Amino acid sequence: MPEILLDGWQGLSPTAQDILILLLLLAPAVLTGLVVTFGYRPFLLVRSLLWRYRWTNLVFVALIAVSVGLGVGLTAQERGLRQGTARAAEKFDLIVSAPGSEITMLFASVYLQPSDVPLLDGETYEKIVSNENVSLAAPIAYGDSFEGYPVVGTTPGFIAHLSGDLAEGEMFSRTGQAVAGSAVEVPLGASFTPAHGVGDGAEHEAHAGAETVIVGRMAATGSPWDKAILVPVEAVWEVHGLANGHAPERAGQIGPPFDTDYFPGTPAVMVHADALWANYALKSDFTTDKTMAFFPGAVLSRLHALMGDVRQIMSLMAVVTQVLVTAGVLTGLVVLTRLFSRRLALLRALGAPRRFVFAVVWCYAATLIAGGAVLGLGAGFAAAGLISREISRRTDILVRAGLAWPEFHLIAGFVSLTLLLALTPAFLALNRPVIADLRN
Amino acid sequence: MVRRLAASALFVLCLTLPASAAEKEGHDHGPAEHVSELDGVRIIHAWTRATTGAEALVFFEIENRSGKPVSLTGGESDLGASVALVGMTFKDGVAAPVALPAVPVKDGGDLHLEPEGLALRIGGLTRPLAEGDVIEVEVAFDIGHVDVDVEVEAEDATGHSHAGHAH
Repeated sequence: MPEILLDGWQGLSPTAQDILILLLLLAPAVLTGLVVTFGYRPFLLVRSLLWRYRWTNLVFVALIAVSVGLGVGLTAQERGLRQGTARAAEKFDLIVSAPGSEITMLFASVYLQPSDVPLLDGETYEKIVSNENVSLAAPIAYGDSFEGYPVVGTTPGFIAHLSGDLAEGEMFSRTGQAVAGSAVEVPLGASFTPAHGVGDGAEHEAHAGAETVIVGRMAATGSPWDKAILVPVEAVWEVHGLANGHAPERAGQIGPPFDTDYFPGTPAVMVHADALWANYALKSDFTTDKTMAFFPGAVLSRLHALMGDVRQIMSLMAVVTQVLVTAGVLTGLVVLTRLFSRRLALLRALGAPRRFVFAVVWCYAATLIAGGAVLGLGAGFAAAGLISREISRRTDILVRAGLAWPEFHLIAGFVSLTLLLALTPAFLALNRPVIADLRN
Repeated sequence: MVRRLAASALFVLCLTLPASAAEKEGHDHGPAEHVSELDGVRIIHAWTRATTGAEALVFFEIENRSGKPVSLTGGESDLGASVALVGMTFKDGVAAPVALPAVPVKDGGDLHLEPEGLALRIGGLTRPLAEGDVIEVEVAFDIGHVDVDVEVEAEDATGHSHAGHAH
């Protein structure tokens, strides 16, 4: 029997599994509701109670909504950030660089946070390009900037790989031309002189005379490359007083093939293979004494796994918040039932069955809890959206934090647990002395 | 995460009865061979992670000193319904194994099967794998098959406990 269950479970699509988990989490709430209200229609009375104490009820609903919103907003945001950083790295199949720190190279090559790293020489580059499994090998040469925008030297092939067709303008065809990222606030046709280095320490006069015109603009990539200015790698070498990658007779050429003897070096090479299996073979081929090869996606995955503890703490915080609010809500409900204890006593004095009164109190609590949870869902969605926009603005990584199944499961679990616990104030309300309450 | 928990719970439930009977099957607590060889193709430091799930990923290093290119094609194991060569892909930061055809290893070249990269996936595990166990997997190349002792490391291991040692 369990094997049939396991087979059946594994045969379901992920969405079907999520729906089933949601229904299972909601089942205690629904079953409790059906049992409590069986044979009675307490809703008219509940509605009048809700209206009679509307402001107090609103405060309760708002409290629940804020707690649920914080919980789901927090988990959605964490996932959005994780997915955003991963999406930004997806076009970077394999990075080859000099041996060192994969994290440093990941930050430099994918997220354009440059570091001083050793360069790969022409011979090494040639080995990469001439590997039969390589369909694209592009140098990524960073270190210059313009008004905070990183200026990166690369090839037209890499730009096409990164963002597809240009959103406007044309590809650079000579040194002195550049393609801007989608979020670079420099218009087409404008010219600039790159500074040597980035940030406050950048030397603005170091490349005087290397005037560059923006001739095209990339489509948005959702990565820090949207705020980069891409120039021919030959231009980066030339402004640093180096050979430009080509023999003198081909000095005007842009892009590959490069001449090994005139290849000054590059901090990193982005490598792409058409066949998935070839990437693994390439990684093994270029993991040598002179080169380091890594999958940015894999390094990120390890980073995310390392941060798993933080994620668990965040989830725990969300749950603890919910539990605290649940405790607060239940205490509040006990106090609330005291508020309308006289009405309940009157009901019982008029001959209303005890179970009917019980149903009224429980349904009243259920309405507050369910209303708060639904409002919280909206609050969490709104909060996640606002925070995502701010993170995207600050990091240039497109973060889209939407609500997904984990949030729905969290809320379903919260609602079920709270509705089960709401049976307690209903029992307490039932055990109040009728005569004493009528006299009060 | 809830999905994984649910699947694990079902799997543990499923294994409760047959576990005791299967406990000795394919179980070897003796010292594992760290190197296996087939006509100059060496497989070093094979390992996997402890699991109660239905799948396990097996990692190792291949050194091809056979004088000719060879291809890794997959494998077989008594402990699982299938053994397939998979490569890890990442979509939105989530790792997803994708079945791969044969992967060639050049003469004189190495191929590393490692987490977040290539692996042999044992599907339909018949029993949980506990840390310290040694399981046997038959690794298939185009030139033949070779039996490999696979050491079961911790559930969250990132490498073979003997990695870095020369053999």
